[in-house]
Amino acid sequence: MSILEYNGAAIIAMAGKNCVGIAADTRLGVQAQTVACDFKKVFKMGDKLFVGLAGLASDVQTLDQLLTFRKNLYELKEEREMKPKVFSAMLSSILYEKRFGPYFAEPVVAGLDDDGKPFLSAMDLIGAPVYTDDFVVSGTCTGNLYGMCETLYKPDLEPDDLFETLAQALLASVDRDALSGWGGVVHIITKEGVTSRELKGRQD
Amino acid sequence: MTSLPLPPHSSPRPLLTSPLPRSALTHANGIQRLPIHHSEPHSMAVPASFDQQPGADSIDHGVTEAPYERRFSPYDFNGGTTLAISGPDFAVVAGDTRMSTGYEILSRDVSKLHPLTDHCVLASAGCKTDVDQLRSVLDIRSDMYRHNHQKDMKVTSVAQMLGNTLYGRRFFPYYSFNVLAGVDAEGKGAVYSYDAIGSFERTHFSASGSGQSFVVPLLDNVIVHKNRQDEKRELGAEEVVEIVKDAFVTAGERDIYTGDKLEIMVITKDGIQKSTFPLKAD
Amino acid sequence: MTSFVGETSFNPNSLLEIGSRKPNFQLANDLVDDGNFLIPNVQDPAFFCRTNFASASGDKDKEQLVKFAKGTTTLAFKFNEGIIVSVDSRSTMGAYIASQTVKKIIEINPFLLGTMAGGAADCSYWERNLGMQCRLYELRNKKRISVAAASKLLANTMNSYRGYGLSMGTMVTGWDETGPQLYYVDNDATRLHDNLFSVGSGSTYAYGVLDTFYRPDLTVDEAIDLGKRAIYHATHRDAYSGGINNLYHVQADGWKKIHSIDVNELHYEFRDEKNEMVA
Repeated sequence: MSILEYNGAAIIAMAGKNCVGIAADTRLGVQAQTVACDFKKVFKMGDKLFVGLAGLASDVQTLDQLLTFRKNLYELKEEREMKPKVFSAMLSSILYEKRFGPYFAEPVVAGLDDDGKPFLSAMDLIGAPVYTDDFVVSGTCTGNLYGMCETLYKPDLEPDDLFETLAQALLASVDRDALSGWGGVVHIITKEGVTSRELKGRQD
Repeated sequence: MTSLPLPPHSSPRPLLTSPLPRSALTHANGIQRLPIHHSEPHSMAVPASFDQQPGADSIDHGVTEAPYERRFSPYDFNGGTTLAISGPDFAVVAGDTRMSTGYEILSRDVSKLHPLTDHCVLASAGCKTDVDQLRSVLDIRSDMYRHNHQKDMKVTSVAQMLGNTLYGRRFFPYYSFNVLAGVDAEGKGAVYSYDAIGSFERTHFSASGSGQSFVVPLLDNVIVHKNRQDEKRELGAEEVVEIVKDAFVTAGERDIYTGDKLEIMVITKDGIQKSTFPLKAD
Repeated sequence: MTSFVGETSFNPNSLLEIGSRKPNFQLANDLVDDGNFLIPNVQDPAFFCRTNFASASGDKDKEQLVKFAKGTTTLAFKFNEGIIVSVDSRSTMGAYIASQTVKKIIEINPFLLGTMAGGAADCSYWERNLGMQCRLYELRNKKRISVAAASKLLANTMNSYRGYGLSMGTMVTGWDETGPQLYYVDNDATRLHDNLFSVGSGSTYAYGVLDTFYRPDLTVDEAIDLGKRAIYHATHRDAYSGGINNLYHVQADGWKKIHSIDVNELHYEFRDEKNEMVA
């Protein structure tokens, strides 16, 4: 089993009309055994900025702490908020620093710019970024996730429709993957704020 | 000519020594091993000669000493996706028409669908040569059945025959991912999904091939209605064909081995209707 | 039992056939007779098969080009009122869930049940083959085969293919003249006779529940509940188990299918039960 499949994960981020959503499953496993059903993989970095980390759980948590530290340091020094684009570039740089001994995590960044425009990016474990305006996925069942998102995605979705789309895409995909699932969480970020909902998924 | 004096503290230039023990001078099968490098014992006694054939010097350049394995693989993956969905009185089966190997496209118009009887179609993706052989064997067997029993095989029987045929090659499998679709004796749609060695199951729908993971969760959601709170309604044949086209457009977008053209067959008790639909050729 | 395609020779079976020329059906038969397994033409076919075409459990076949569908948590136990057989229904190919509705209990005949764990194709083929052998026994001996004999037939078949990479962990169970019997038969031809077995990647979780609550004097309802609970716990914790719990009860007059319940429903049922107990 590859090291990136040791713990299992499924993460999607999708853009809507002046809103962006990020969803993840909540399973923590050790190969076949499920150890926890409430493991956080999506972390709030700022009011309008979330990062989802798929991969080795240890690196997921370490990167969360490292990114929080670096973002806070930036905001202290610059005395302004960090934009999603800059955060994504910083994350890419942090990952490439460890080019020959990488963090085994493949992140997804979702945020809203100051003018309300959605920002999405995804990276591989050594920081190669991809910027899209529709959706990005990461985890152990990317095939399933791409298929679902490609079919269900429509441009300019309202926040409620975006939630439904993300929920259906995530649940259908993780039900065909042995290593992810056991519940899910969806965060929808709009100019007004963040709405977070837990998904009732299959517990097998 | 005298050489320059060596700088202090440096030992005389060390000779390369072969790490191989002297006993490694013969291979396990008794053949004398030729020296690879002049540092090896007895290699000085093997002179390079100018009047021998070019390339025939007695120094072994590492070929016999450290042979690397080049294994012939009997399998090749020719790509593609197939899909079948059953309904109350019909079955829809579809496959793209691209055949590829590695990163190259070999053909844009090779069918993955093969009617075995008037009410039964076999869709296979995987290694084309194994698929062709499998189709031949199944054709022979269903012809023999028809001669012996004076009637066509029913879908349920074809399904078991295919399972047994695949298991007959348990120790050298057909690299073929099959989906069988048809209409059973009662007129209901039947779809059977297989793994490579013949484990099969009658299911509501099935997809196989390189684009399988892209379309299966979609069909779980739309056809079987998993994880949905809204009411499930019966889908007619035309609607199912539209869903199949959507699924293949998705698979064509994200899977490099799927594309070019989509062949769809709708099987009802009256027979098989064929249609085609273009896909992206990139 | 194994032979190579192309072995042809005309051996007269009786005096009447000498001098007659039988058409050569051998080649055609090899194509259609599935009992002749085509073996790869290599130095050590057993080694070649078990390294390249093994239907392993877990991810032992990650190096293989061809991955086969595998099965996962099954259990059976004998108690005073018969035998309970309880299984899940998930089949995986690597980490991809191929199916959530696999029938892992194989009805060999109305008095014998076999379970499936390991390679799905291996189990279903050889248990169907066992069904055929049991039927032949009935026709020859005018009585039903005993569970001991049936499990021995299967074990002997496994012995002939030992080392070829078959993966099968099955329980053969039924009620014969000696009462309810339960045997475990494995792809290395292990054959064990006992009161309680659990097989598959989720078997450790099932054993935990079974060993704690098993008693020979369970009532039928308690036994059914135990079988259900053990599978539920295995499906919750094991990634390769899940789907639907199929449960059968073997009685003196044959087996009976008790229920087919989605394990996700069981999760919420047991969770509510736990909350009520605490409250």
